[in-house]
Amino acid sequence: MDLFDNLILGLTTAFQLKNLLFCLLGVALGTAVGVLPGIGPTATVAMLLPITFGFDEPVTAIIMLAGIYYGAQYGGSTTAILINLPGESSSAVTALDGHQLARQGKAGTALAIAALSSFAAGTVATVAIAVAAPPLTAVALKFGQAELFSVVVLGLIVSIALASGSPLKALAMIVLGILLSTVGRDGFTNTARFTFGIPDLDAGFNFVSVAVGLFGVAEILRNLHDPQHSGRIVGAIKGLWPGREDLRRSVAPATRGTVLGSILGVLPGGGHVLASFGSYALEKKVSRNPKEFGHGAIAGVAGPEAANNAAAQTSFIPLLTLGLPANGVMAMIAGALILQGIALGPSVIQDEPELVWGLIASMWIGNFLLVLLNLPLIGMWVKMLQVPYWVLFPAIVVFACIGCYSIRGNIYEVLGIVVFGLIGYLLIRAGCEPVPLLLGFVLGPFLEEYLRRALIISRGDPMTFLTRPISATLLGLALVALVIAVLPTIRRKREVVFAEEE
Amino acid sequence: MADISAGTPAASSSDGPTNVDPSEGARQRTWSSADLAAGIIFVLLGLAFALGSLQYEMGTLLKMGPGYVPLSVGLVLCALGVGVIVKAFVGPDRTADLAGVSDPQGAPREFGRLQWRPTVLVLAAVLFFALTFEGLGLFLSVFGTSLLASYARPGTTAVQALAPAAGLTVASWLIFVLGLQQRLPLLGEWLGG
Repeated sequence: MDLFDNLILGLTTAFQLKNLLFCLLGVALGTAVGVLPGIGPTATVAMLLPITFGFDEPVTAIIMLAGIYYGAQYGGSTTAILINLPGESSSAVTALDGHQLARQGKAGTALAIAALSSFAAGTVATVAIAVAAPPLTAVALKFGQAELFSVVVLGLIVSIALASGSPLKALAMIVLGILLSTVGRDGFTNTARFTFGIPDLDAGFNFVSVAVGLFGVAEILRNLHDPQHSGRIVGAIKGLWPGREDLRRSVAPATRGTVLGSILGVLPGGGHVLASFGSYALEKKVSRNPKEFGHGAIAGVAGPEAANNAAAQTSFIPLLTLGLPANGVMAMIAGALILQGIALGPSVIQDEPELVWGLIASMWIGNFLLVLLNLPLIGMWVKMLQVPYWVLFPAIVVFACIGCYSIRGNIYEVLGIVVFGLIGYLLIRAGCEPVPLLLGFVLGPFLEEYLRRALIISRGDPMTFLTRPISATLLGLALVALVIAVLPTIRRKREVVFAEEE
Repeated sequence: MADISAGTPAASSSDGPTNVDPSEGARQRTWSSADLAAGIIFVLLGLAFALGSLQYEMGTLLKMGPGYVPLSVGLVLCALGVGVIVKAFVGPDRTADLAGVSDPQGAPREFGRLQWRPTVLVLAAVLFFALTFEGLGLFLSVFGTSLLASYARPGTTAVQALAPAAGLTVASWLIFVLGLQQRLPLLGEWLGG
């Protein structure tokens, strides 16, 4: 009954004309920027974030941000499918089979399947959040500092276990991210750390500079390296709608993807990236025709896209229940909400029911608007991709600079792009994934804060993390995840899952 | 940076022959310059933070000072970096495709030659923006940033550099100043704006 009342409250909030309009605007802008080659959801949200700073109602701001996020995700998938240029690792999986379909002239099918499975997954995940958020909040209220520390550790470790590439390098990237996050004033002693006496650095590097540097600049440099990557446009899209057979073959993968994504999204730490990789591996394992993967398998688009979108949605759960951002985008949304005067944490669901339930309802509406907006517009997005690269990349550079500057009117945010662009570019060349670094950077301050608080409470006894049962269980799970990631035999099998198509 | 580029001259020579069949390629390298570079970067950054944190108070487990976490995390990063360097020779990363999924039979992953022109010019474009935006203002700073960025692409003609620069100057004024109502300097302090 409560659930019903809550959803009604949410729907009335989301259906206010103003909120509806800003949701639509967010979805449209998010898609428009997200479809730009090389700009993923993180960079898109980073650039469009400042728009919402002036809003007087926090609920409008978060609804628009959520719309931008979904739009950017879908825009990123569009680019991945059409020109094989994923803006973020989560859509890299979609590119594997989606682009093959596009080359076979079935781009319309791939784009429509991506949109429809995202929508279906979004609908299910919205209900999942509505059902799961209140009980999870009750659990969250029992969490002490030690448990919070352990849940962050678990999230970070799981992101290594399921991500692609070398686990050792991923672990090092996480640790580097944590280290970089220590720049700025220490919250306990108010000592400025690693700021070289520059007051503008007291608040540390802004997350947005890190994201734009790591993903925006590094991506541009990578594309300038491989000219054949840029501007390769697929021929005309024949027929938008997938056939009955394509739809039928998408149902089961999309369903499995939704379940997997909804679960992984709750974990703090790269849930949506893991979700799409995990779903691809799963589909390949259960497929009766695994050879098809990598050569245009519909299931390879439907599964990961559903998983990705479901995880994008459930990643709001740790933010709304623990006040813990699950990924970079959530960190930015959290930042925007704090600016609006909202105190995040387990009590937000009681204190701001309109905000929480309005957001949940608007997720579903946002996904619906996304399908409505994008299916007819696919032809136009393709035209936009025909913008030559010599126009596109100066535009990306300029917009990224202005976007970062306007966050706080601070030149050091722009200098941060240079620093992180260089570090990110070198590390990406060296075969390191940028996502774990970003996760470490986002979660690092939380990790340090919880660690220090937990130790103060336990009077300096580090065993507190192992003697408290919930904390010990979480750390035990993290250890299991680490062992799975590092064990060479299991690892090799996992690589074969991805690599056997060639 | 010197340490990183030191690993690259050898790498560039093997850019081509990475696809050579290992059985006939006697000169095929068995270690990964990508792993080596990554390891060195991790060690250097870890050391830099660990050394830097020595100037802050350490504190105890009960009451950690500002230096405790950066020092320990910095040392952990050093250790992991050493691990990645060892891995470069023991179990190197293999060549990867677009999705970052590696091929267990592939050649060890190479760092490859750094291409200086795009790297320097794109970063210079952002740096130019940072240094001149408040001084010169939006119009001139955006124009210059866009020009620098354009020349990062080899083979850019004057028209291909000037047209986007002019267009972006107008577009950023329309989008950010008129559309999004951002308070940005149009003519900077140096020009009396």
